[in-house]
Amino acid sequence: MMNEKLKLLAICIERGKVDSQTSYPPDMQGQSGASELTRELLDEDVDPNDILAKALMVGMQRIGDKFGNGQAFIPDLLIAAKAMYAAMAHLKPYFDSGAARHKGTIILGTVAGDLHDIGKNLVRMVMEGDGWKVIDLGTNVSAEKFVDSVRSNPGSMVGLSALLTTTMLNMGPITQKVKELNAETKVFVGGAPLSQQFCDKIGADGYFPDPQSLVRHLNTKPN
Amino acid sequence: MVAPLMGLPGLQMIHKSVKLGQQNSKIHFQTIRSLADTFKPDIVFPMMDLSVEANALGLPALFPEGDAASIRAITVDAPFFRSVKTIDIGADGRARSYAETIRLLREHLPGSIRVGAYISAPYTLAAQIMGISKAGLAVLMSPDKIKQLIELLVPVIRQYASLQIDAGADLVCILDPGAALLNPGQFDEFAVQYVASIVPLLHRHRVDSIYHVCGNTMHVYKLMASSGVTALSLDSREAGVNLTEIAEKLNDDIILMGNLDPSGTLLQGNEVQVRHEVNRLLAEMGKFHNFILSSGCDLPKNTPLANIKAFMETGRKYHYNS
Repeated sequence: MMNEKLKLLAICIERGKVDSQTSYPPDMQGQSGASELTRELLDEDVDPNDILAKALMVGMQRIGDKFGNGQAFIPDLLIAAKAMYAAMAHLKPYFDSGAARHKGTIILGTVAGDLHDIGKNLVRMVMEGDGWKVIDLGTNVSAEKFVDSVRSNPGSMVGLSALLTTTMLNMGPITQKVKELNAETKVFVGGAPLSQQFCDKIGADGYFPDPQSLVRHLNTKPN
Repeated sequence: MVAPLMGLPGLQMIHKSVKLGQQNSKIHFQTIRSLADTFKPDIVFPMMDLSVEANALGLPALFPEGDAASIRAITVDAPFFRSVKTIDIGADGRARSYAETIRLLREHLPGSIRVGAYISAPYTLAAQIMGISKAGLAVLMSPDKIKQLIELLVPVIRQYASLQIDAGADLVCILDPGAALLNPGQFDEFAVQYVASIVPLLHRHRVDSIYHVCGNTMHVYKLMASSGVTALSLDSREAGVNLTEIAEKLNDDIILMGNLDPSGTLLQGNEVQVRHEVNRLLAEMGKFHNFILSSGCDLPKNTPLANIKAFMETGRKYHYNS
């Protein structure tokens, strides 16, 4: 029964069924969604780590894979993330108390001068769905803010996002300042105008064109 | 023909900020004229600015010194719907400033150089107003609501297009970067059918139309072509676009513009790399008579002028030899 419910929860995440009140997807109208199923599983004393690993991560992984091979698009990712957040709201107290554990921490932000956030938000959604703790510094984030956050969160990684060709140039100084604080801190970069060549030039540790490739990298080569 | 999407790099030649260029028609004109005089492209475009229509509809815009203006999304509610119905975009200062730039360009540039204008596509304008994530969710969760907004915006966009056509635009480029995020069904339903409703207005005025969508459009290029536009402007190979495949699959009565990488090659590369990439692109696309050499997207402000020169020279040389 528990396994069936976990499977159903994974489907709700993958297909973006937030709760019983939401009309999307049309063929799941009136059914319980991610929110209700997570609550029920917790009430049945299912380990929150299992809910995360066997349902939320599975659902996000499936939609991420579909996105990666062109079977799903941004709206599908957004609605899956909405369902995932509805489930995560129930799990949050367990993470806060230490009863459930994240894989690691990444500090995310769109770099100084840049107000675009969709790319950064997609990374956040996919990483949280994969069990990582994300500290989202928002948009237009200065080097000092990134450094302060790394100082306050030892052992964390940093993810820099930019959409503009002008603001991506700010990634170099930010990377440099983070590395000056701790050369071991991994800095990853992403955004439409970026390339591996640019990543190498600024001394960052990795360029990822989409959130899935970052998650795959982290899962195969843990920080 | 050689016609990169460029406006912002002209600011390097007149030493003015983006903010000034996008707010002052004389500076805007000088910016584009500098590019026209120096590089003599077959088509000139204004500085790409997706904020004009939304700003004219009352949304707050930010004007950073060094970058294009951007819009702060709002909550779309009943008062907004009511206000849009009462706003005359033709009386808006910035919209009129863009039209005045077009007028000055048409007046002062030789007839051999065609003057282009930009308008936002309806879905992209809706996404600017709602916020791009909310618009993406709305196509799934509240499709009727976002369609209602899009339908409200179509007349506004038509009015802005007319303003620029009346000022002398020879062609209008419809910008739809937001729609690249949609699947083909959604693209058809929320983007292309509304673009198609604008195209006849342009053609009635004997103005050519270009449909530009940034990013990978391999899943929607046939739908883009179905809008009835004169030309498609497509992003770079690095963004995922295979222009040769598109040229082979579409009828040759639609012009294809593209698609040199504006960032990796034109902004960050050097002259040798630019010449190499232009030659590669022309070797692949030169056989198609419906091809116009262009950039995959708008050139960033700091694109080295030497790279633009290399782009134009290499393109021209091929053009004259072919």
